[in-house]
Amino acid sequence: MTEIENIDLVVEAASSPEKMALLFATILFGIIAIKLVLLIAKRFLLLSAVDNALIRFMLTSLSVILGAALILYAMKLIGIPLTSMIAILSAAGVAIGLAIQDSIANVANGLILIGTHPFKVGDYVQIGTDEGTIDEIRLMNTVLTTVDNRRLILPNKMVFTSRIMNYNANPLRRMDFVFTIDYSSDLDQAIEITRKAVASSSYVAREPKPRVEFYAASASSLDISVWCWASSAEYWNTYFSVQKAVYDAYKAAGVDIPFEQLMISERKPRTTRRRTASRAEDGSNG
Amino acid sequence: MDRIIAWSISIWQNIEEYVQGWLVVIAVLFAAALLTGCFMNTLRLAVRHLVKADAMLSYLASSEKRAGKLHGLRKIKKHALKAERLLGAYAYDHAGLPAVKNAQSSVAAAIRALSSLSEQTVSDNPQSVLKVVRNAHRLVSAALKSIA
Repeated sequence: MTEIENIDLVVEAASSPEKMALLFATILFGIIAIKLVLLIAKRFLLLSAVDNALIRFMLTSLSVILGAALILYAMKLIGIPLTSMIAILSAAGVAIGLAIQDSIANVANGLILIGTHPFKVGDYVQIGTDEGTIDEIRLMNTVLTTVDNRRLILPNKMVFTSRIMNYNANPLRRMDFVFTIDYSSDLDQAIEITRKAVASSSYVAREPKPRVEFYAASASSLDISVWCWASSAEYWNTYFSVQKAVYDAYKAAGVDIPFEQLMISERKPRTTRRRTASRAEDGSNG
Repeated sequence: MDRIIAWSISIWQNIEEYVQGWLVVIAVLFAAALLTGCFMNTLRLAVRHLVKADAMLSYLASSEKRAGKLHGLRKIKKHALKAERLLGAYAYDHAGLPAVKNAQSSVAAAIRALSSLSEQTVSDNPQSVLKVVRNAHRLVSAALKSIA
């Protein structure tokens, strides 16, 4: 069927009041029916264990599919042939698909991310070399807020292919510290003081118990290592409180904390002195 | 005017059967939506499930014998799960309202507590079951208060 014949059919349909009434009724009732179907689908999806972002995507897809079906049905109803229309749509679909294949890859990866849950909104994650708190997992991209409050938008294709480290996946995180004391200090006493100081921090988890051990005899200090557990959400509060508690405890107990010392010795160049002396001698002779 | 009316009537007669078909479809969909509570606000539906769970929990938490009713516990969990999902969806749509988020986490904690109960625990240790049920009741009540 040629294009002119198609246009003729549309003009014929538009000039027929019955066909126009049918078209109007189909679109009106079709829209109402689609809204109701979406409402029912939403309620069932909400009560199932499907992720909210995925629900939104499924409902959008469903509304687009139903809308397209309604338009095609309405066209068929008023006598417009669908064969050529479907052929045009298929060709356009292939062309558009090739043109936006990166975006389609992002959407596909977004769906996998939403379905597999490597992280959720509010988690602190490292994706490749980027770090931040997940703000939103969209179909095309993932939005993070970095620690210095910058907004970072990563394409889902990149997120999916990168190494992901989720710091909030487990409720507790182990924190490692190394405290140094002077060789002249009593090691056992220092270990006991460190243990008490770590336990005094309200952020440190009681279970598993913190472990305080002699770690190494370094070049200028004895190293005491501390392994303690804390809530992932309180990581930095724990870090600061343990540092302060141990420092205060060492100071109160008189444990010496070694610090790097730099000795500078000045050496006067002999040759210069000799030359100066010989010059002075020459001057007095002359 | 008469001509327009006659014209409209003739169009209606032609498409009457078709429109009636659509009306039946819409009526069925509307009834289904009405029965499944689709026209109700998500938060209101969540509160409805929470109220049911709260009432059942308050009954079970009154004695050791009642607390050991597994059927009741399963029903409560079902309502709590629905409420938790709906609260999550509401918080998602409304950019994470803190009160709703708090309620959701309280309900999630109650579900976790109830999930820890097994048939073995119920038969062996009724006292601990009562303790868990009372804790779940406290959490669900807190969630309700948070939304209110």
